[in-house]
Amino acid sequence: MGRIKAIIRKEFLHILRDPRSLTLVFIIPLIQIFILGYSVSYDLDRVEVALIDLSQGGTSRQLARAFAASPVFQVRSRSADGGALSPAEAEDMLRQGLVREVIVIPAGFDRLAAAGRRAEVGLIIDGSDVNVANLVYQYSERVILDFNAARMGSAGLLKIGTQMHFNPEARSRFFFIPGLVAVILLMISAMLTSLSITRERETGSLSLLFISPLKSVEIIVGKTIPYIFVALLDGAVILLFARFWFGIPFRGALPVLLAFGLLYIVAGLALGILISTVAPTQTTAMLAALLITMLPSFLLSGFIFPLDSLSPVLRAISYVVPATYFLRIIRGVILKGAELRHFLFDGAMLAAYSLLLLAVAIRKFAGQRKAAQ
Amino acid sequence: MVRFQEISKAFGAIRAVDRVSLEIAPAAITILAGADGAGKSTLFKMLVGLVKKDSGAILLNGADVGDDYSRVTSVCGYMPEKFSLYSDLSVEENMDFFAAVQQVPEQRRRELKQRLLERTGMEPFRGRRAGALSGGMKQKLALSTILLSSPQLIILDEPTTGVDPLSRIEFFAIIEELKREGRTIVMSTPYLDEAEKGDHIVLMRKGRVLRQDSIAGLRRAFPARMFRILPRGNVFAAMQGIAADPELAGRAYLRGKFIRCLQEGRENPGARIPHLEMVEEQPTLEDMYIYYERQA
Repeated sequence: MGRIKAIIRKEFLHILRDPRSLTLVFIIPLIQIFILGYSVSYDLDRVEVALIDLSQGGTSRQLARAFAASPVFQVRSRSADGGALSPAEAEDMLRQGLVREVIVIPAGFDRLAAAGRRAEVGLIIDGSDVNVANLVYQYSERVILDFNAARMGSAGLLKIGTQMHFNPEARSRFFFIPGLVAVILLMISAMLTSLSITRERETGSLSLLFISPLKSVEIIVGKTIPYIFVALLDGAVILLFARFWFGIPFRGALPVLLAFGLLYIVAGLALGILISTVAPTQTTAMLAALLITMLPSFLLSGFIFPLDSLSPVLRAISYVVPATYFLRIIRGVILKGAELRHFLFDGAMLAAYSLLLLAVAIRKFAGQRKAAQ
Repeated sequence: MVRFQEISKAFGAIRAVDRVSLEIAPAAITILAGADGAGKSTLFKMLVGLVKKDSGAILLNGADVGDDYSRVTSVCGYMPEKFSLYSDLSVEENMDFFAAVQQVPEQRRRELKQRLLERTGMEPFRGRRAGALSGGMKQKLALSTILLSSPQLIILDEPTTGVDPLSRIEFFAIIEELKREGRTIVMSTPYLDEAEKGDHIVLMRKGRVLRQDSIAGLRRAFPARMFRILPRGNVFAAMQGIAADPELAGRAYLRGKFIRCLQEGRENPGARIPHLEMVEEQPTLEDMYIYYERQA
């Protein structure tokens, strides 16, 4: 125990005396979450759309006002000379990407509406970006349905009462940022231990540890424990930033997140040790840690693409990505106030993953030590 | 204490150590001398298990170590050629860490640490970070950390390379003291003047042992006489003349304004080299090394 304590103390001293690593650990995740928190979003805000009102009646103007009143749309219905927008001008704007959609209220719209007959509205949407096109369509449809319902009053037979639970405003940021926390935490954890060991290899001090009476398990455990604290602190800083900068709610119990977070961090640290057994330099270790943790966590964990939409092969791979489990947990705890009992399977998978990775890392490290002889 | 028997190691096509046999006597200083690539560091690394030997055996106190290098590392302190302690830790923190790793009891650690700090003159620098120490101080710190575990066998890989002359003298004084305490010391050096201080000297070249013995034994067995010659006229022109003379070519080298010429048999080289002064001297280890190297 005394020898492990000596390694823990030494590692803490390295951490405290290396401002570059401290910057890496605390500042870079904040920069990442700041940039990604703003850039990775499915929400649309002030989308430019063109509106051509060929009917020019009271009802068509009401519909145009409904679009203009929506916080999602920025409606352009006038051309540069102040006159009404022509279909040709609107098409040009769509081609140039100045607008995402052209709303066409056809001639005769008011007449049909006044007669109580079905009146159609044309939506010409820029389909070059399918995600945006779908969102524009959904938002437009909602405006039209609301307008329709307001005009019909209680005449409608069915009315859908919708309530978005856990995320009432359906803000995609609430969905993405906890995911980002999971991705960043894994990346930082893996990077910390991989750099710690490769640095010792580069300076030659690892040779001194190799020939010392230290057991491989003592070296690994002693090197891992300080970084558990660092990664937990890092996670806390990122969560606080998410809470107070992005306004992400925290509805669950902190100890629950802490318990699962601990398992997740150990998995990341063990992954870092594994990387360090094959990476000859710190640069290689850092790149490998980035590649191995970020890509699968972004693409195969359910962070961006739902697991249900993945092919069977990729879905199978997703089960070996630790972020897959922690992502469910962190979203559940933060957004839904889920409890320990809700994530027993995910927690067990993380625990198994951490223990397995740690065992493999120790075995590989010991093998490397033996191979030197 | 340690015996290498026909030890070999190759890295690809390069034979770093080629059938080397030598003995490290207890309570004595054994010095491996030779230029870079002689195989000194590889030999040490094989002794502590950092490099796997291809063939041969290492015997510790008469018993084959086999693959259990902990038998060696449990009784030795190894100081690698490159400074490998933690630069961001202070002198004292480095010593504390390695003492804890070696499980030196707290009380003994405190006493030993204090004694070593005083003995090496590092007491005023105990709080200084290792990275900020001079080359000589770094080597003293590295030596101190291995002495904390009171090893019987001390392995020092080029401990004085790149160290200032005064620190080298101080370093050797510590090594002499350790020998008086009964420790076994084996070290390597590229400096042949330094190697003369060893009780047993092993001259190495390209993975092979050229000669090994005490300095007195090496001198006794040396088959050539050494002449220090101050040539008449330009020294470089004289060297060109020597190079063209089949009797002298390969037996002379320049040292300042003098030519040092090794001559086998009774013949005097003065007759073949126009000179102002010629003195027969006792050959130095450097003379012997150059002679044997050229023979090889």
